[in-house]
Amino acid sequence: MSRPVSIGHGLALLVALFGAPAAWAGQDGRVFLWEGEGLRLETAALPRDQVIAFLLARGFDSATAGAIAEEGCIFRSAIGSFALAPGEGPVSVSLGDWRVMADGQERGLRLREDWAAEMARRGADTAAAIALEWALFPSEQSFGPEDYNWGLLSFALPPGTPFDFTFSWWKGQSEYRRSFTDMECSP
Amino acid sequence: MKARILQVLAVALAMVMATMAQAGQLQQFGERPEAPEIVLENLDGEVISLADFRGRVVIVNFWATWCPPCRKEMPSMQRAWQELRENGVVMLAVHVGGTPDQVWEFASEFGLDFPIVIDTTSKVSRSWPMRGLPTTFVIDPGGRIAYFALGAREWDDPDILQTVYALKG
Repeated sequence: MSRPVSIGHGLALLVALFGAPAAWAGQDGRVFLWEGEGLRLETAALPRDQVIAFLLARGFDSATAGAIAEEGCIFRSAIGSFALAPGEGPVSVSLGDWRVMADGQERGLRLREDWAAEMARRGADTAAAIALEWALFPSEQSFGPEDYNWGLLSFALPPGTPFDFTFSWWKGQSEYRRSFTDMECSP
Repeated sequence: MKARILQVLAVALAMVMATMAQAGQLQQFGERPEAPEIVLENLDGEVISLADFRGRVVIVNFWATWCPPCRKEMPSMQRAWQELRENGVVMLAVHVGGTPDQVWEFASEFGLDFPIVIDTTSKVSRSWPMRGLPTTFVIDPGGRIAYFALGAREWDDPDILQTVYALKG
């Protein structure tokens, strides 16, 4: 089974997956879902005020939190294996290979390592920077049956920017590639 | 930066090379490498060392209060702990970053009473073969990583408990 789905106002799905995390209780965006060829990817834009609230609670000052929300185009995401049979897989992703197309230009995501360097450059609070690092999705990950990770993806586009997103993954020796179209950063 | 990239690649390679045979909802961890040491303070400021539990099965959970699936699995971890501790199994939750006050508030709200330590710098967490939260390892009595799980699980699931108890030998 393979299905790319854009689900309007799909909070119920996220709640079903994650319970009802207080940090994201007001999230109300479109949910983009892929399930097929061993991979499950679910992602949805986070409103900037929620990003800022999360970062302030982790210890960032308001200027840094605002800058991350402004520059980050942050999406909450769950990535994991899908319908892997025992002994099948693993499914592997490398976020450095994932591409964003906006305004006729192709670019990569801003990865965990990129943000760590940016936080060091800004002299951000160390504890807060650690929390951001671990909240961002790992750049390299492999999943066996039942495995998934939760994390944030940063598309690094200005607020309100529409874009297409192409993601790829490996299942065993086979590489797969799919796209979500008409995504948009939180305005 | 180069060392960091190499470290990430090494971890990814280790995870890929780990044997992915399933044992219930847990993955076997390849050749059972020795678990990295954990020496951290608990919520009361007492130093807890993983080495102190050598000879016993230990479940090591890396988590954070702000991580939704971590929050989701905590009630089942507490239920599992109530049974596991009666059977000599240790549970150790490592909070990545944060402060004791933040974690204490969460633990109190969820009624958690298994040992929780705080990795304020995340240095210990980085020494383990994982990069995402939650990740949980099951350590055998010899101090080696036997199983791991990425993402939340129902830790009081009979299949998982059976897998854990089987390590006691």
